[in-house]
Amino acid sequence: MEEQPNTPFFNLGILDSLTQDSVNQIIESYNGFCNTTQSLLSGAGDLSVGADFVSHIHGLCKFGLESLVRDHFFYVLEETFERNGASRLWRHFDPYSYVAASNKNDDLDIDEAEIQSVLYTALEEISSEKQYQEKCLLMLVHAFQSYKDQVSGERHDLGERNYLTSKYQWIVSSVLMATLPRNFPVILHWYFKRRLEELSTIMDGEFQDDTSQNKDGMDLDEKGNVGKCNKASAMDVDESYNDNKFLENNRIVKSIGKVVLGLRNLGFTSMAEDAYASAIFLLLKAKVYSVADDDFRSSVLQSIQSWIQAVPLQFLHALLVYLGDTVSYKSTSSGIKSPLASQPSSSCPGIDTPSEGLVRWKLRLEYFAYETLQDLRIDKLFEIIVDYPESSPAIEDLKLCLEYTGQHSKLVESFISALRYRLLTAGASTNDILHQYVSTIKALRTIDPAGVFLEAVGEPIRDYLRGRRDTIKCIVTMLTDGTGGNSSASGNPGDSLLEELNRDEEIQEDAGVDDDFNTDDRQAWINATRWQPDPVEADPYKGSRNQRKVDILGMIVGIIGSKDQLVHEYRTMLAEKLLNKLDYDIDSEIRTLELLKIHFGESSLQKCEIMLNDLIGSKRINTNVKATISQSSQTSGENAISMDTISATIMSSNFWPPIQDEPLNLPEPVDQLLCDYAKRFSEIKTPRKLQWKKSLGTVKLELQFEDRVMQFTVAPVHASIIMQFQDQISWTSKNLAAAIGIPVDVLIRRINFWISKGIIAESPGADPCDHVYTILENLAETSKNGGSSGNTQELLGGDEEEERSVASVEDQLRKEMNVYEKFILGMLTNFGSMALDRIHNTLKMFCITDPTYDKSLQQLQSFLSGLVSEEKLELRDGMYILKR
Amino acid sequence: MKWGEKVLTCDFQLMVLVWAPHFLPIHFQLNHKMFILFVKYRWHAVSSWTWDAQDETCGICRMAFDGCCPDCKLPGDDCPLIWGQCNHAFHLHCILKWVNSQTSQAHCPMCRREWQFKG
Repeated sequence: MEEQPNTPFFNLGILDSLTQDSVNQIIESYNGFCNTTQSLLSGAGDLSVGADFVSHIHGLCKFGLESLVRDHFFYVLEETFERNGASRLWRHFDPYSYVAASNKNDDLDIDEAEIQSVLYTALEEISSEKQYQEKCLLMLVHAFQSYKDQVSGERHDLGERNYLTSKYQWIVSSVLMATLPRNFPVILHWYFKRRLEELSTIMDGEFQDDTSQNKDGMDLDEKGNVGKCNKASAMDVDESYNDNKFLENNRIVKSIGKVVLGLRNLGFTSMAEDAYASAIFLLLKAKVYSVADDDFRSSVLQSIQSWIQAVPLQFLHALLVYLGDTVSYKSTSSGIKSPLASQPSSSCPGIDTPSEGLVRWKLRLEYFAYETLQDLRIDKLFEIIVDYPESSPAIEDLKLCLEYTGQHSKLVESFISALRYRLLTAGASTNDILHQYVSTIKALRTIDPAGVFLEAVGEPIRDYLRGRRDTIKCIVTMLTDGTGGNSSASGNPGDSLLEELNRDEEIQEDAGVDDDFNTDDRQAWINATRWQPDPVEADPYKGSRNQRKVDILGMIVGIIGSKDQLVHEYRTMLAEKLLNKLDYDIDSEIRTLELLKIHFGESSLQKCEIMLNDLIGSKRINTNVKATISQSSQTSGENAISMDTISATIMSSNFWPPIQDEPLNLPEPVDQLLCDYAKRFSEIKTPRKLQWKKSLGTVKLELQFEDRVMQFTVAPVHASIIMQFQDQISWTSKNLAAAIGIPVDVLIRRINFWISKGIIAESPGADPCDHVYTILENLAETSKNGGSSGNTQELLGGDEEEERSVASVEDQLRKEMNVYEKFILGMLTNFGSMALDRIHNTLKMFCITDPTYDKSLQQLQSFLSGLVSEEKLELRDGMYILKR
Repeated sequence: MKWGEKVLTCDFQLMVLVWAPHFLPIHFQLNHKMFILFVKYRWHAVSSWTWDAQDETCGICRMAFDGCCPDCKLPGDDCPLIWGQCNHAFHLHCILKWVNSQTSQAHCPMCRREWQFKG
């Protein structure tokens, strides 16, 4: 008896009560039931066996075999559905089986209408099949109920029915899921995508009409657009065009809705949602890319946001309405509102009360848009920062995005790798790196005022710059030179830093107020309420927010290590600049110095101030000296006039950097004038006297030849050389060197300047090591000699490094370090080999008396490498040893 | 002060006529031509001042004379030197401090002679 285990309560007593008769009856009804079920379900729409079906069920129910009936019915139902419904459904999509292999994002080469009709028919077929089966199911339910009615007169039990239908649903979807071919989701996805694109082009049109902003970048789908435009041009009246668009809209939404509904029926709710959600996201991504691409000069966030509201949200709204999901949550919608939409009620134009689902969608879409934009911007952050002041809208966008998404660490990582790859390479000039660094600081200050990420990003740049030798020089140039003296292709970074100095002045004043201990309680309270915790990414070891105030100058100085080094370099550069001045115009220098004083403190810049004071004093003394000379020496009128051609800078040499003075014989008249000048000075300023640095200074020359006049601005050496040729047309190099009082090799180097100008010609003399220099008479000869001639030549004679009048910082350092050379050599003789650290520490330990060893490790290293190149030392595996 | 104008007004020019046949290359001699080069110049020289004292540093503060005393910021006129009758020089501020700190008649810190400012 196969049915026995299926009895509801395993009440074996029932078996005893069964008579042969009743067993026969059961078997008969069961067979009848099986047959009718079979014919009912497989027979297409033939409900004629219904009456038999019901009576058989009644027969079985009489013996308490409802569960048997139910299980068998569902078994057959499932089998039939699998055979008839599912396999037939999927067969529709067999032609597209190649699709499964292709990429999801590829554009499939399928006709849209075709796929739509296929989808429709497939879904229709399956739903009719399903409906029919549901009808059968209902018959079963009715049969049960009518039996119950007969027996006990019980009322309809809806629970039974619900249970059965839901079980049926479950069967349907599980069967479909189990047999789902791989290409179906792809097709579905593609279908939604195409539909949405179509829709968005229409909506875009509206959107453009509405907002009339950001015209370009709207044509997402060129093909679709063209089609629409053609259609649109056919419309004469705008009204009808709009109506048409609206209808079109509706049509598309409906067709999508239909598919979604059909899928939902089959239990594919999540799959359908996935499909259209991913389609929307793809669309959004494309939109963001097209709007935001490579244009950093305008903010795109606003337009993207309004686009989201205009296109995808409208679509979703229509879809949700169509699907009948819209439940107005007037009260809750305000609870979940987008942090960006200031007024949620007006955030969805045309939708009065956004449903909860819609608000969720909006949040999802916005987050996605922000994330996409943020990724896009982070990828391009390097370029954005390169043209920073112009690209600040992009930075603002990025800031908003990051506030929303909170993915700052992504920014830091990606930017650092970009820096490493593109900026911190041997090919980049120090100036450019510094410029980029300053821009980075400024840009990141906008994004993150606390400077936490800046800390992380700046670290590699700082480390790199520390390894460059000209860093300090570049920084000082940037700081002091408003015109960006070093010609660099990327704008004039000098401006930015000088500006920064200015701006910093204000900050300092503010800070002064802040630091004041006398601030009243109210102010303290206000400060306290304004306190915000550090961002989570903050490194707790790097001090708290207040100490980390973003200060460009501070960060720049941080590269150098100490402000003393910077001031030192500045002093050297300032001296160079002042010594090369022809007049006493130092207004810009005074301004810069004042600004620097504010930042670095007055005491550290004391010497620089004295230097500037010397210039001012020199100007005064100059006029004074000249006035007294012209007064006193009325007799020698010629002398007085000559004095006008002389001016002098008088320095307080103790406060200037070491000056490189070379001996030089000045031309007789000039020497005389300088003597007079010095005499006059000591008369005015007894008991002080002047010591001329003859090789220093600047001379403006005007050379008058027979047929031309040339002007030059040169160093005294050059002037002395050329003036010797007034007395004598031709000189041998030895004689000329003796006359000027410089070594022959120096003369040969210096005179090259005049040779290159085509004013002096060089010819071999009688003695092979003695050259003959001749002044060239006229222009014809000049051009013959290939010299370049110009009427006005503004050239400071010295362009080579060694012609600097002020000893460079390296030279000074070297001089200072020379004291330690014998210490080091002695040390190495004793110990054999030593590492840099150890030498440094030993020097620190033992050189405490005059001169105290106060150099940094880097300075020591550069000095040692100098010794290595002089072949006094040898560096092997990081150890210094004596070279023998 | 524009240099161009200045130079035009003061015609100090060193005009040098050179006639030295034995130095000249051959073609000069053949032409028997005078060669003339005028050089106008405006010379900006650089010098440093120093106190005309025998010593380098002030005996009181041990700072360089050409520098300034510890209380001063600017050297030169703002922090002058002063000589005593004994010909010892000090920073004015230093010796004044010294003189004022002495209860009785002050002496030169170097030679212990009575301190008198040199006229």
